[in-house]
Amino acid sequence: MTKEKLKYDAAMAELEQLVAEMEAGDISVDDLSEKIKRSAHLIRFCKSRLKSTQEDVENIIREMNEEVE
Amino acid sequence: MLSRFGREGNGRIKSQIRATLWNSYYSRLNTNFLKKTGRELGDGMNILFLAQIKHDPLHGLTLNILDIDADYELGQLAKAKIACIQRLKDEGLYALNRQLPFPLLPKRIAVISVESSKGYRDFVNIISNNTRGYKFFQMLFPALLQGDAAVDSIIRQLDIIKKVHRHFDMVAIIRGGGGDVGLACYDDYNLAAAVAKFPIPVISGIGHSTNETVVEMVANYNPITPTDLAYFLQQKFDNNAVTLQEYQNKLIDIAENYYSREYGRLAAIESFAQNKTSLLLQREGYKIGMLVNKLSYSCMNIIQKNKTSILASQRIIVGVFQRKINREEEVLRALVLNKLPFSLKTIADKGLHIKHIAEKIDLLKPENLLKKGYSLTLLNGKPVREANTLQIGDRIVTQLYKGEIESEIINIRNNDKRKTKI
Repeated sequence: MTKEKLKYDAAMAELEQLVAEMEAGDISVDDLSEKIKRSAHLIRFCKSRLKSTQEDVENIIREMNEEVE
Repeated sequence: MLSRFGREGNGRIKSQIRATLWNSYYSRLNTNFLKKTGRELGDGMNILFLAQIKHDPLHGLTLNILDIDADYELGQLAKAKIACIQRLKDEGLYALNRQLPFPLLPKRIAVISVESSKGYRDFVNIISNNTRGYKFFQMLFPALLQGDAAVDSIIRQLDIIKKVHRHFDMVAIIRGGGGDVGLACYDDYNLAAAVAKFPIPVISGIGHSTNETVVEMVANYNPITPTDLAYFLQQKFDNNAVTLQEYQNKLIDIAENYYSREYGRLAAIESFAQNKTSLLLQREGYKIGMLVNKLSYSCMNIIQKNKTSILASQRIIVGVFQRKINREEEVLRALVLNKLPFSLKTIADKGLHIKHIAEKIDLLKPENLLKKGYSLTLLNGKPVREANTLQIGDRIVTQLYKGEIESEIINIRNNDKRKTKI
């Protein structure tokens, strides 16, 4: 599985979509279990985003200095 | 203090006159002015004042300022503010930043503030020590936050942030303390325009109690105080946490419902299949039962038929035997009738002979022998017939016709001579 670069907003939107689809029903057990797995992954990701931060300060400072002479 | 009085028209000075605000008046008037307008007397202000006209033969006509009407300045400021808002609207800038969607999770904050200010400290305290464990990323871009120099200082930092804005979700302009003094910079057109045009949402936490400034009006959101700003961000996180929890619960509900429905469906199919099977089995069982009955009836028939024929054969055989027996009986009877008289005589002779033998046997009875002087020697209750069956020291019993004697053997000879010690 390739490592995807998730964004919070995108993850939340996908989660919303998945829950709506599941609520609408009419999906097979296989699909459901895939969707549940994906939803759980997204929830875990979103929750972790609430409690973690990984901004690269050095990167920001470097970029600022590069462009502001 | 030297002031110049002039009247501008088309940017040119038509006439001018010197006016002086003496130090003794200045401090009182400035304090009063600051109190009313929130700003100090400075260059380029249009003011309405009360003056004493003086004429000096050397310096000509001069004015000595005695009082300044702060209300006039307020009016001027208000007019400038309205003009600024109108210009922003005319240029289509006014609502730009407010129209930017506020990020769902405002995590990364570029803060324009002063490190030592109380407002900044309060803000950082709240967002970094929240009890729910949320992590914010905030980076300070230091700037002057009040007075005329603030405009350029803040714009400079906004320009820097713009270069790296993809690292941030929003900009927070935080000013703490300082009351309502020095807020005029936030009504400045250039600053307001810079905020309005900013590519990511700008939030203002300038903290004041008077009317909203233009910067606050064009900002994406204005929680007014730095503390409220911090709580507002925390609230956004809370909302996300609640939404996620709701989704999680919903997911569990959906999964449980779905699986219980599927289990129900499977159970129904299973019981249907079971019913069908048992019905089928019942029907087949009945068929087999019928076959078994038929089979056993047929067998019984066959057996019965065979039995009858066996009985017939038996009867024939028995008849044959019976006739044979009858014939033999006839032969026997004839034999008995012809030979029996001879046989009876033979039997009488035999009886007599037997009587003689019995008499002889009677003579041989032990008591008759004992009576004649013979004796019986017993070892351990058993009769002794030969001397070599005895050993020296054996105790033997000798039975006589009347009484018995017990002896111990002291010598044994294997001929007729014997000696016993009594």
